[in-house]
Amino acid sequence: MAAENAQGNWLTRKGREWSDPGYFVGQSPLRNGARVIWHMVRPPRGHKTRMTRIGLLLVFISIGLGSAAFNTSQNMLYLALALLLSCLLLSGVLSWLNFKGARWRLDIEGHFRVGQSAPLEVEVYNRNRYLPLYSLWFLLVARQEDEGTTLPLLRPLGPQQTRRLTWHFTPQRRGVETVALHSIISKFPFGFLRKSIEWTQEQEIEVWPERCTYSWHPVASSRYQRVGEHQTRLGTGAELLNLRHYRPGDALRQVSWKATARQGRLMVRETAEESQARYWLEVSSNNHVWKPGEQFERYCSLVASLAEDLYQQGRLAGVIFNDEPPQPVQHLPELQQVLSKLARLQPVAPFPGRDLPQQPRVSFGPGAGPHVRAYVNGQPAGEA
Amino acid sequence: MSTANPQAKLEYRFLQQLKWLLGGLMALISLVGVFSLGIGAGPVVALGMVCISIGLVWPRLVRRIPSWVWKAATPILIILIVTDFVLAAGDILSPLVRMIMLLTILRALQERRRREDLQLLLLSLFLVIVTGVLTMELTFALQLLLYTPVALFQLFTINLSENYVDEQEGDPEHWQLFRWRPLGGFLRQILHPRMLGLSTLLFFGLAGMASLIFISLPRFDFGQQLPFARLSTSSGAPGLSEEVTYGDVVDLLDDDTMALRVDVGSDIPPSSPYWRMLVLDEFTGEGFRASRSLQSTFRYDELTRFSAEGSYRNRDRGEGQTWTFYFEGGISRYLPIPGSFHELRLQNEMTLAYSYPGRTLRTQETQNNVLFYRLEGLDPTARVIPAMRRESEWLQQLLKNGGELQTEDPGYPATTLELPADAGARAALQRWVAEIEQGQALGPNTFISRATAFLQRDRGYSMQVQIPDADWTENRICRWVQAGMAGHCELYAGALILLAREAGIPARMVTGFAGGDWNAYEQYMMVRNRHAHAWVEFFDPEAGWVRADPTPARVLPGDNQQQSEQNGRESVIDDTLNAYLDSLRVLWYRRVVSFDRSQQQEMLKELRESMGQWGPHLRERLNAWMQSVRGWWSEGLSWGKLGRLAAKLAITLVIWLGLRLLWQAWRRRQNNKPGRLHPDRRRAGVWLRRLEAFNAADPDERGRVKAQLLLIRYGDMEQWPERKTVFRQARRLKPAKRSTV
Repeated sequence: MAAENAQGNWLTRKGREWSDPGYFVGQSPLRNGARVIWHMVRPPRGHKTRMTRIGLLLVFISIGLGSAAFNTSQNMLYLALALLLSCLLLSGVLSWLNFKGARWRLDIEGHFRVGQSAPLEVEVYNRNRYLPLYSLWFLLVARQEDEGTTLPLLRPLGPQQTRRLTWHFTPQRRGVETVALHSIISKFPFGFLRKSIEWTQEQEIEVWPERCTYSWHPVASSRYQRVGEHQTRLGTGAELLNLRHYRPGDALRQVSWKATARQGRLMVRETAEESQARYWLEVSSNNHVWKPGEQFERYCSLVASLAEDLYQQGRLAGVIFNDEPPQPVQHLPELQQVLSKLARLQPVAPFPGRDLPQQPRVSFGPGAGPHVRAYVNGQPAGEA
Repeated sequence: MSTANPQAKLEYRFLQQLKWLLGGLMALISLVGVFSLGIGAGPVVALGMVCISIGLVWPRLVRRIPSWVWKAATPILIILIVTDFVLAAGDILSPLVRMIMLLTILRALQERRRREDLQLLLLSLFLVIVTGVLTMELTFALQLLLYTPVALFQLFTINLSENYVDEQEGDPEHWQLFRWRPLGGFLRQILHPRMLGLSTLLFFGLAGMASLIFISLPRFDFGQQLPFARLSTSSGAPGLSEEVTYGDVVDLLDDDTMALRVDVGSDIPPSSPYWRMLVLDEFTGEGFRASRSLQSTFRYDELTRFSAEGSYRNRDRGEGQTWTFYFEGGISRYLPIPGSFHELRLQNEMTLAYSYPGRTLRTQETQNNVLFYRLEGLDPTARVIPAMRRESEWLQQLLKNGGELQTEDPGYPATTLELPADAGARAALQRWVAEIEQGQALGPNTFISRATAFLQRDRGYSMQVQIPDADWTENRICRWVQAGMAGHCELYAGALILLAREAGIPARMVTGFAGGDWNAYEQYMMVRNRHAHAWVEFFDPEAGWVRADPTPARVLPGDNQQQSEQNGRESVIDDTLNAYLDSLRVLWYRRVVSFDRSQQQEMLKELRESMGQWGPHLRERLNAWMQSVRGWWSEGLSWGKLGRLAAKLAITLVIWLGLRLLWQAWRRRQNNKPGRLHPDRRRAGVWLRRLEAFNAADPDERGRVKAQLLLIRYGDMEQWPERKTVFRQARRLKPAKRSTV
């Protein structure tokens, strides 16, 4: 959907533009008409019109009837031929009219995680004033996964109406996936012609690592908790520090319903952090240690799962990716950024050492076979 | 999308049921045409149609038919079809049509999936075309008009069904849960008034497009066509075959069905036309027949045009008329010819035989359906048919020899002098001839005139003739003449022939039609079976074969003047409802069946002329109007003129205001319907969607307009801004060119 920015301007987000068949791209009816006729001679790139079996059969019947009619001058045959030809013409015109009013766009919201189903949507809009939109098939493909589906527009879409078609896509691989609208196909109205418009839209999605089961038993350590030093930081403790307006990404459990009822808008509690250890996750994808493969994927999964769980417990301080500066994680969008980075994580060349935060650090290393171990300050703390 | 969606499942089931209904309807429409083919399949078609109708009304009954019935049906059908082809002995067309018919019935009754639905569509289409081509009747147009929307709707339904990719075809539930009421509800849902209106518009568009294509498809010259299969029949009307016994022609006189339609190319009905078909030269005692020697003169040829040769040919083609004949099937294989002509043209190549001595044309077999032919350079007034030179010489030689036949089987043309062998009859004939001649030596024309007067004296016309028995002769004609009673055309013609022959004048009987009705709506001749007639041609050595009709006009009790003329040979104007209905058929024949290149060229010429005239005509009208305005002004103003002008303006204004009020009231009524949004709210919604689809050059302006549109779309009506301005501003925001895919 279009969104309004602070200046009151309406912006269209990337990947959310409407696509159309491009029949009427200008304002001049004359030029549009000429363009349409030219498109019949030389269809634009990606536009294809093919005969279906029924269409071919009709053409063969027409040829047979035509031959018989021309050779025998039988007007009944001419009449039947004229009717068949006009049916073909009508089919072409209706098919064109049907496509003319169609607008569509990929609508991919939310996040994708290996092994978890998430909706991929195509939004269809009928721009026609009077004619409904019939029988459009949207062929969606996930290129890396080499998987696809066909989303048919089952019921007619009324004039000036919008409908969403959903594909529940379950990614199987971590990484960047390209979801593309391979083609929009229509055999409307009689199935003589198969009209398609190909590769109109595509969008990249990040597929987060799969959640994995792991063991986590860090050795309790308080040496990083300076004695006598009072730390008041936001966290998930019971002590209320403040009430503020809701911001996207805030956990629902933080909502103060009483305050919300009083203020008439969503209010959230800010509480002090319990005095528990907060961890930095040190994510190193040194290619001397990690090779692409099952173990590396498990490594990514472990980091992602641990990061999420620690965040939920309010014990995640941040993540350090290779030689990048430490990335604190206080809010959900920051965690999502971390997961997105994990989606793109690949083994890299070794990098020089640098200063790291003093707080407990969780580092990872290969275990036996495909397993991956987690260490807190060098002490084994878990395994996946 | 999936089976888990009950709504989708329900819709899919309705679509399957709809396909069943439409398939059945297609089959019924296509089968109707088979009745008019006359291939002896009527009872089977009727039974099939009843079964299909039952299957349409109670589809669950079809499901109850055990599967072994369908399994057994296929081999039985194959055996039936093969047997039919074998028994047809060379006739491929009739068994072919019967085969398609049986397959259509079977497919219409069977449970169908997509493949079978398409098969049924093809079979029924084939059947419609085949019956249309063979019958060439107006019913074909009606069939097409009915069949096309049903077939297109069926294809549309099949296409829609394909969207339900997860549904299984042939699900027994579709049948078990078949109910008319829910299906009716579904149909009401999809066929809302707008869709119906659009469908109707599309249908007329399709018909218009088909008409345009039909007119503009190129045609070959008339006469270069290949033969086209035609259905034939072994039977014809009894009075119009090679052998006619007394009463055969008369039997047709009660039959009011149409035999022949003739387009004479003018608005004036022809006077006393005689539609000559058969020449019967040999006297059999029970009547007349075409002798074997005369029949052997027919020469068959495959042709599309026949040029008359020799003396029968009308020399002056340019002055001759062009008549188009639509000869009904099942009447006779002899073509009605009203006079001498230059050329005969057929619509397709076919086997045609021409007898030069008899000047008759015939097809190989009696046609089952309408036969179209055209005579060019026709002289319909010709009463005399010049004899062939050899024929003439032979007859004159025969007459010099005293007219006595030398053998028992003399052969044509000697058969035209053949008399009954019965001595009593001969004596009577000699007596009557003497009475007619009264001792004078009469020329053929005078003798025939006197003989006609002799026969008509104190007699009248009667179709019921009880000829009394007599011991002096067995000859029916002589007994009838002797009895002095009323009679019909065969008796009159027969008697005149015998009298002429007795007097040494060669004579022969001709059968065909005489007269006809003139259709007042489409200006053509309608010749019915009741116009069947028999007359005489006698040989005049100086002219040839001269027509003589001794039958008096048929006046029935209660007939008025027009009817009595009709019972004679004059054309009578028919403007009844039946004539109107018949004119539709001829319109079909003229505009569609006989449409050829010449008509195409004529139409093009007329179009060009009318286009050429359109500009000057418009200019002329405009000038005339300007002149009238100028005249009105130059005459000076008066209170009366001003008053009339004001009244006209006031009336126009009132009408305009009234229409506007009606329109607004209708709009208000539509908008006040429950669930209807205010039109401006809808319009604002449309513009909001549109604004999303393009990037405006001025984002600030866009934001402002968007906010106002949102207010119109969702806000309180009292706070609405000036709507027209907002919509105009939104329209201005639209860029000249929008980025596309």
